[in-house]
This record gives sequence, C-alpha cells and structure tokens, in this order.
Amino acid sequence: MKSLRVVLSIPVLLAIVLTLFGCGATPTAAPTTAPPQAAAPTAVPATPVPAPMTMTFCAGADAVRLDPADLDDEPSWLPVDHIFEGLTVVKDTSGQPQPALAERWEASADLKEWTFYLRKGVTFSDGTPLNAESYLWNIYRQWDPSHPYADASKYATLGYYLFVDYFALGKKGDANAGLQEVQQIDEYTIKFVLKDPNPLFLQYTHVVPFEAVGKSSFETYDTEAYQHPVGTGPYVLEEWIKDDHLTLVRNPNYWDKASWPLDKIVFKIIPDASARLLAVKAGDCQGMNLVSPDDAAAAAGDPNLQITLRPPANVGYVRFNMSIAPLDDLNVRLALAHATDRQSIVDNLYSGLGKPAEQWMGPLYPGHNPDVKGYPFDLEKAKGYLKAAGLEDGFTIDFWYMPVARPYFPNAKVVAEAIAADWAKIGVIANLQTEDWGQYKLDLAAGKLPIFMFGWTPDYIDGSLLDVWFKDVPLGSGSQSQCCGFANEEVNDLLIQAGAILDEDERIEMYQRVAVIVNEIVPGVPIVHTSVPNIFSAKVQGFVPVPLKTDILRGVSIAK
Amino acid sequence: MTRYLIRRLLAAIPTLLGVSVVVFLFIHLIPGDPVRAMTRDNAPEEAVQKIRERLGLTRPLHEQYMIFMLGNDTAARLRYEVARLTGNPIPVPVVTQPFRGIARGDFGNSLVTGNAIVSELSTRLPATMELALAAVLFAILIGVPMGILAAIKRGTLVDTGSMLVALTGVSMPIYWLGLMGIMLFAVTLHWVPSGSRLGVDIALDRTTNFYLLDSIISGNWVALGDALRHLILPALVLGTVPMGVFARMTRSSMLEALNQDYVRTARAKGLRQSAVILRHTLKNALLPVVTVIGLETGYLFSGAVLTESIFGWPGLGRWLYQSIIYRDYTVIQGATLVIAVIFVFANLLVDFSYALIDPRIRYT
Repeated sequence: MKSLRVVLSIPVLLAIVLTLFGCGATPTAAPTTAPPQAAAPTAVPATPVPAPMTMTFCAGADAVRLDPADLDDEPSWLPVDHIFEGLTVVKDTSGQPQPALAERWEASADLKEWTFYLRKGVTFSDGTPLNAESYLWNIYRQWDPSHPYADASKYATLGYYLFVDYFALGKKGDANAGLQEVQQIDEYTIKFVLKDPNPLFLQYTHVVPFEAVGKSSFETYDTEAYQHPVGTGPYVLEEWIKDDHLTLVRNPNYWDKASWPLDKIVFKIIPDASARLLAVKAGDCQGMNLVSPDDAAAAAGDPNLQITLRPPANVGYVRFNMSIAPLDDLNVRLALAHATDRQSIVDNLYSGLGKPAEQWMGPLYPGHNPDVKGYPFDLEKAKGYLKAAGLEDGFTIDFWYMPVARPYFPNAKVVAEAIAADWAKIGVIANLQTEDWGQYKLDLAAGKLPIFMFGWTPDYIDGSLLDVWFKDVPLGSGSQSQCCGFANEEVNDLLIQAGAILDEDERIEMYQRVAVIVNEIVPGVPIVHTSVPNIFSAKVQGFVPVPLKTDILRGVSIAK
Repeated sequence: MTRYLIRRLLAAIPTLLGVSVVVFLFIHLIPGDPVRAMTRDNAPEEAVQKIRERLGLTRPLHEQYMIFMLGNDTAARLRYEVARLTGNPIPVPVVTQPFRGIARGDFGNSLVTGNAIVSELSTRLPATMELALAAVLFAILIGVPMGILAAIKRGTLVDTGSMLVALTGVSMPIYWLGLMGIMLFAVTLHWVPSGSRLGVDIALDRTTNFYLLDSIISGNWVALGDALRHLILPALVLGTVPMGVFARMTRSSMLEALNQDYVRTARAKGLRQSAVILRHTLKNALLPVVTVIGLETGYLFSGAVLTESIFGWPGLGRWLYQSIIYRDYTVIQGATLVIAVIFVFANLLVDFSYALIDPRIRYT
C-alpha cells in the first residue's frame, strides 16, 4: 500500500513543487536592468555605470531576410530600417523625406537629373567609410547586370532585385529603363540620370532599395549575407533566433547617436495579437505592433499602457471588375456603392480606429479632393439605380474577400459579411468567396474576380498613388487598372502629366480632377482609412508614428 | 524480441516511402503556382521563370520526385544513363540549385527565407520536442495517477472529482486556457514569463537547442532556471488535454482489469492492496494507456500551432503553419515528412513498449 500511496501522491507533490517554484521565482526582470553577469562586486565601490536602456518590442511576425534589396514583407522592414539607412528618411507625421545619408540634394529643371551630396564622416558598422563608391555598391548590385552580385536568381529569394519593378528603374543598358545612368561626381556626390522627368524620385530615396549596404557581408557570407547585415544605421544585429527574437545593439560607428536613446532593441516574436498585448501588460515587452481593434479598445482603459496612432494613410476598398456584366453598367455600380453603409462598418468593426473613406486617397495626400464625398448610404437611391439598370429584382454575384489580415481589413471576412448584408437589402446576393492569398492576387490581376476586396499601404505620401489603380499600364506591372476594365483616357492623360511636372499646385489640381472623374465612374467603393495603432508601456517616451509601413524607434526612450 | 524489433523497423521503411510520395504529390497537386505566390504581384515573368527552372519545377513530376528523393545530381546522372541506354539524345544539363535529396539528409532551402531547412529543423524540432516532452510528462504524472485513484475509489466523490477534472481538461479550449494562464501567472502574479523560451538577457551556448540540456551541459544554472520558468506554463497548457485523456483511459482500463479473475485471485491470496493494484492490475491495464500516450506524444511532437503562437514558442507547428500560408512548399514537404517520421517512430516505440509490458506480443 505504501508504494501505491507514492504513485498516487505524485500529482500532489508535483502541484506543490510547481507552486513553490513559481512563488520562489522572482518577477520577470525589468528589461532596463543589466544582465546578471554585469553586476559589479559588492565589496569594491565601483563607479556607477548607467544600465543599458533596452526595449523589448513584441512583433507579430519575424523578419524573413535582412537585405534591403530583397525583401517584400513588413516584418522584415522593422529591423532593416534600424540597421540600414537611405539617402533620405521619413521621421515625422508629414511622411515627407528629410536628409539622412544625403545632407542635401538638387534636381535639374527637367526633373531628369537628381544629385545627392553624401554626409561626410559616416561609416558602415564594419568600419568602411561611406562615400559615393561604397554607397553605390548596393545601387549597382540591383541595376548593373555586370555587378558581381547582380545575379538575383542566386542572391534574392524574390528572384529579382526591388529596383526592377518597385520603381520601374530597370537595368543598366536597357533603353527603356527608368534609371539610365548613375554618376559618381566626386567622393561624396552622386547623380542619378532618369529616362523621363520624375518629380517623385526623391520619395524613392527613403525606401529600402536605396539604403546603403556594406559589401563585406557579401564577400564573407555570399548567399547567406542576408543573415549578416552590414549597414550604416543606428543598430547592428547581435543575435537572431528565428521566430523567437532578433536583437539589435548600438552601432558604435553611428553618426547621430543622440537621436536614438535606446542601447538595445529586442524584437520578440509573438504571433498571437492577444498574447502580445498580455506580454506588454506583464512587462515582458514595452511595445507591440499589429494591434487588433478589440485589443486597442481593451488597452485604452489601462493606465499602464499608451496607444499611438499612425496618421491614416492606407485605404481598404471593394473593387468592381467593370468588364464583367452587370458591373459594366454604371447604374449597377452606383447602386452597390450607395447600398454600402461605410459608416456603420467603421463604427461597428474598427473600434474607433477607422474613418469611412470618401475617395481613394485619404486627406493626408496631396491631391485628395475635399469636394469629393463618395456615395452616401441611401437604399432608396440604390434601388432606383438598380431599376434604371433593369435589375430591380436584384442579381447574384461572387464577392471575393481577402484571406489575410491587413491594417485596413483586420478581418476581411467580417467586413465582407457586413457589405453583403447591406447589398441583400436591395436584392443583390453576394456569394462570399476566398482562396489562397497567392492565387487571389493572381486571379484578380487576371480579371477573374468580379468583385474583390483589396487595400494599399503606401511607401510614400504622394498623389501618384492613384497610378496604382487608374493609370493605363500593362498587366503585371502592379497597376490594377487593366485588371478591372477601367480605361479612361482623360484620367490616364492627367496621371501621366501629373507624374512629369514639378509644380506641386498644378500636380495637386490634376490629381483632384482625377478624384472627381473616378468618383463618377465608380470603379469600386473605398471603404476605410485606418489609423494603425501601436501599444506601448506608459514608461515609453518619444515614439513618433510615421504614416508609412514600419515602426521606427527613433527618439524612443524608457523612463525609470 | 530482437527479431520482433527488426521486423517492426523494416515495416517502417515502406510506410515512410509511401508518406514521401503522398507528401510530394499533395503539395504538387494543389492548384496555383508556388513561385508566383511567393513573388511580388508584378514580378517580371522572366524572373519568375528563372526561379522555376532553378528549383526544377519545370521538369516532369516523376523527375521532380526523383530530385526530391535523390538530389539533382543523382537525377541528372540517371537521366543521362537512361538516355545513353535507350539511344535518346543526351539531355542538356540544367543549372539548378544544388540539392542532395531527402534520402541523403538534404531537405533543400526555404523558398521564402532561403534558409537551409535542415538548419531550421535543428532549432525548431528541439523547441517542439522540449515542450512536448514536458507536456507529456505533466500529463502522465497527473493523468495516470488520477485515473488509478478514480478507478480504485469508483463511485466515490474522489472518482467524480477526478473525472470532472479530466473532462474539463479534455474539453478545455487551448487558446482560452493559454491566454488565461498568461493573464493569471504572468500578468497578475508575475510567477512566470508570458512567452518565449528564454529571457532576452540570458546568455546560453546553444549546442543541442534543447535549452534545458544546453544549460545543464554548460553548467549555466541561471539559464536552466530561466528556461524552466519559460517552459512551465506552455507545458501545462499543452498537457491539459492529454492529461484528461490519460486519466479517463487509465480509469476505464483499470476498472476492466479490476474485474478480472486474476485480481480476485490475487486478493484471495491475501496480497497487499498496493501489490494487487501495481503488480497485477496496473500492468495489465497499461496497454491501451501506452497506446494513447504514444499517439498523443506523436501528435504533440508534430507541433502545437496554438500553444506555440500564444507563447511565442519557435517550434515546428508554427513553422509549418507559416509555410502553408506562404506556400513555401519545400518547407511544407520537409516539415511534413519529419512529422510523419516522428509519428512512425512514436508508434514503433509504442510497439516496443507493448513487447516490454506483455511478453506474449513478442511472439505474435
């Protein structure tokens, strides 16, 4: 009986041990404290060394690759933008580029030649000085086919470098390439010569393909250089345990240390949004991204937390394929637009983080037209349009929703259901459909989806965003104009003209005119602009939410 | 006994081969182009085609399977030999990514990250195994004694209470339980961390990537304590369902065994209760329990997506889940195959333990 008692007492003993273990454990160490091995011997009075200021930031997904010329995912931007720097940087809510590696720049009168004057005294984290030659190494890699690391099928998982399609800058030697020539004027001056006038070129220079990449990493690690980044940014990679954490420490050579108070940044990966919030509440993280609207609402009442909101720069929309009946009829499109209750969707599904979209570009963009008010929710009017189209009894159509979460559609299915319920009130039955995300993008580009949800988070704040949807460029070039039967000569001409002049007022006027025409054609229904939230511990100071993709911890510090 | 073991091991080979065919076909028959899925929407067709060729995706399906199993060097050599023997034109060699084939331990590289799959497995498999072992250990240590107790005290409050706990464990939604656990033990009581395998300030030489083992090998007791503190909560959460299953299975097996004649005989002989229960009843009741433990262990070793996601645990389940989202088919193939191998070996272990528990099984 004694041995039986032993067996049966195991659970009790285990419970006691676990409880004692738990109780005996000290609370999680504050992340700002020094590691145990750094403690000074107590017998010797030592000069107090300030504890390194560490921030643990809970990210929803890990970086894929740390190579600015070969990344296509937001999680990778997060560490990459702390390790590398571009010629310019966006660091405030205006979203406009300011000097970074380039101290100043100038454009020729015809907007074809852009000259950048590099900052002196900047070095890569491996000690290599930054000059025209070392800066241009990464540009040549992407643009010049004779560069030793130009073989994108070997060095880039995307199979090509971002230059090729991102800004249509093309390849050296190609008469149609957007970038025709790169000149090294002197040790610290470089010039880009473009094929066509381009007022937007400056906007490109803060985006990842224009960041300076140290070549020593490629010379040492070859195809695995993406795991050993060398940049000129404020931090260097210390440790990367995939899907667990990625640790950055100060770049000892950085030229502007004062702007980055944190000594160490740990990006800790917790995929579940609610668990990330709990990690911040527990003090294991001091900040988090990819906040769900519900969690933002839950955090709002917690005095130990603060919520920051990026200015709403994105848009989530429903697009109609105007070449598929009955969507080829303007009355049908107007009926669906007027039967969509955007206000109710935003009020009920976005926990105060969204604003109903009245047009494709939000108020932050030059070219947003304050006179365009979209399509008021009016079921009677919608029924009238359907009647005019000869479809007063309604119709049935496939409505495709995104299978992935994005800031503008954190749960696309729920939004789709709300829209379908609205449309049902005028007799339109929307069959909700979805599929694998890769296939979804292919099918919409091929014009197979009659109605689909999509959205956009920009890389820069400019009216040329409208090109994405309405400029008449070939299929497969990123434009959604041809996928959906939208072909309007006036719009196309306006967009081409606006993309080639420097006079900002004139450009804005053109984009505003486009907004009016597009609103009349109803190529879809812009649904929402969202303010992307971050949650931080109340002790975190100095975070500036920029209206672009990444959460830059410039200026961030943690109060004691 | 040895012959039995060898026979079971040999039987595993065709099973694994079959699994490799199913995994390969399953991935390749899914509609859609994996290369298009992983590249930007507006990637030039020329670049996309180059990737397809580099990965060997332009080759016929049977050749792709041959490459998958034996590597592209062997496949090229076989193609050459076949052409030579049949008198067909000698095929022009195509430059593809060097790949030695899974039969030679090369799972290739991830299409999305470019990382070697073997290298990723070497960190993720230990993470999952450490968590799964701890969860199974917890489930056995709690579930089995609870089941025994419930059987012995059948019909009493102890029985009802135990089975209530077991039923709660079986029906508990892991997601909810995990979040509640973090809320209580990490946020409110600060007993354990909210997630991850190790504190960000803890240094550890990662030799085996089993953090507990690495801590012990390197004599790093700070890391050991920290790794344990990180392990406890996810292990308890993950072990809750198996604990309930083990308890219920143990109880029913014990009840069946307790009604057998040999138990009555043992009692009639005047044996002590502990001897009757442990030596006669439990040993005979163990077979179905061991079967369930084996299956659950195999299941847990294949990764627990929810637990790993909630606790930021960089394991196999999460990796596979992400790979499916990204259509990273080399990872899907590799990880699925490894999971299949784990299941096969878990079942083999169960078979071996049958032989240990019940000598009659060796001769059947």
